[in-house]
Amino acid sequence: MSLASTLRYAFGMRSLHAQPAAVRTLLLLLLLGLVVGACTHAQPNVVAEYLDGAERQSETVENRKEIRRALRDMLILSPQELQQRRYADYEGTPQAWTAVELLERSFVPARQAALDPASFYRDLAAPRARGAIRKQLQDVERALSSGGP
Amino acid sequence: MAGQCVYHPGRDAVVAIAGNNYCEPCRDGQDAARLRVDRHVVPAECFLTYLGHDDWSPMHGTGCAHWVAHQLAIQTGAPHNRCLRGFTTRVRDLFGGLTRVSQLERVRAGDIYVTPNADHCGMVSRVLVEQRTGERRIWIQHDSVRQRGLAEDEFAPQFGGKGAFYRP
Repeated sequence: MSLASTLRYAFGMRSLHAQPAAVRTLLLLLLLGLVVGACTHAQPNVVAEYLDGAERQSETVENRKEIRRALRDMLILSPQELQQRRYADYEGTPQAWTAVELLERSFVPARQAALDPASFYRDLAAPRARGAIRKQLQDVERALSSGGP
Repeated sequence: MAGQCVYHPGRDAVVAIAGNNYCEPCRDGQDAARLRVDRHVVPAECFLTYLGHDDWSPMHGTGCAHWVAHQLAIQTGAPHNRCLRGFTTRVRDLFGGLTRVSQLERVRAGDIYVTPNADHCGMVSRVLVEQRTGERRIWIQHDSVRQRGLAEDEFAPQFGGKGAFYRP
C-alpha cells in the first residue's frame, strides 16, 4: 500500500488533494517528532553517562557507607543543597570531598565520561540520571548488607 | 624528537610514553594532572587520562586494579579504562576471562584476589602453611586507600576470609 493510498484510507479522502491541510499537518507533526526525538537523544546526561554501568571501587565499609550517603543525597537534595555538602575522603577525613570528587574517586565509568560539575548538577534531576543513581545505590546497599570486607 | 602527537597530529611530539608520542601542551597537561593523583596510587605517574581540549586528569577509581595490572602485565579492557602505559584500571577487566581458583588449598603467590562485591582487589604475595597446625595462611598485597599506598594484609583477618581468587 503506497503512502498516498494509506493517507486516503486514514482520512477517508478521495484524493490527496482533497484535504491538503490535514496532510500537511500530519507531515509537520511527524517532522516535529523526529526533530524533538533527535535533539533529546543528542543531549547526553553526564550523570547517567558516568554512572550507568560504572564499576564501584571501595575498599572499606566506611567508604561504601559514604558512597551510599552521597547517592541518597543525590536523589533527595536540590542541586544547590548538594553543592554545599561535603563527604569524607578515603581515610575518613570528614567534609573533604564534594559529591563530584567522591564519585570520581569511587567509580570507573564504563565509557569515556567526565564529570563536569556544572553539567553534573544540571542533569541530576533527569529520569535517566535518577535511574542510574538508584541502580548504583541498590548495588552499594547490597554490598553493605552482605557484610563483605 | 621525531613524530607527531598521538592526539594532535598537527603538533610535533616532545615526549614518548609507552610507544605513544605527545606534544608540549599534552606533556604539560600530564605534568599538571600528576600533581592531582591521590598519594596512595602506585604507580602514580601513568594514572592519567586525556579529557580532550588539551585537558588531562587523574584516572577515575581507587587504582587498586591498576597496581595489580602493572604487576601482572594485564592490558585488557577499553582503551579509556587503561592507564597511560596501557594497563587495566577496572577490577572486572582484570579477572574477566581468567580461571577462578575454587579451592583455597590451590591458591598461590601471583593469583589475583577480588573482594566478594568485586569492588577491591590485590595480588597474593605469599602463602604459608603452618607446620604444627597445617593451617594455610594467605597474604594479599594491594594498593590500599586506607593505608595510603601499598600494603600487605592477611586474607583471613583483614578480608574476613571472603572473596575470590583468579589465576592469571
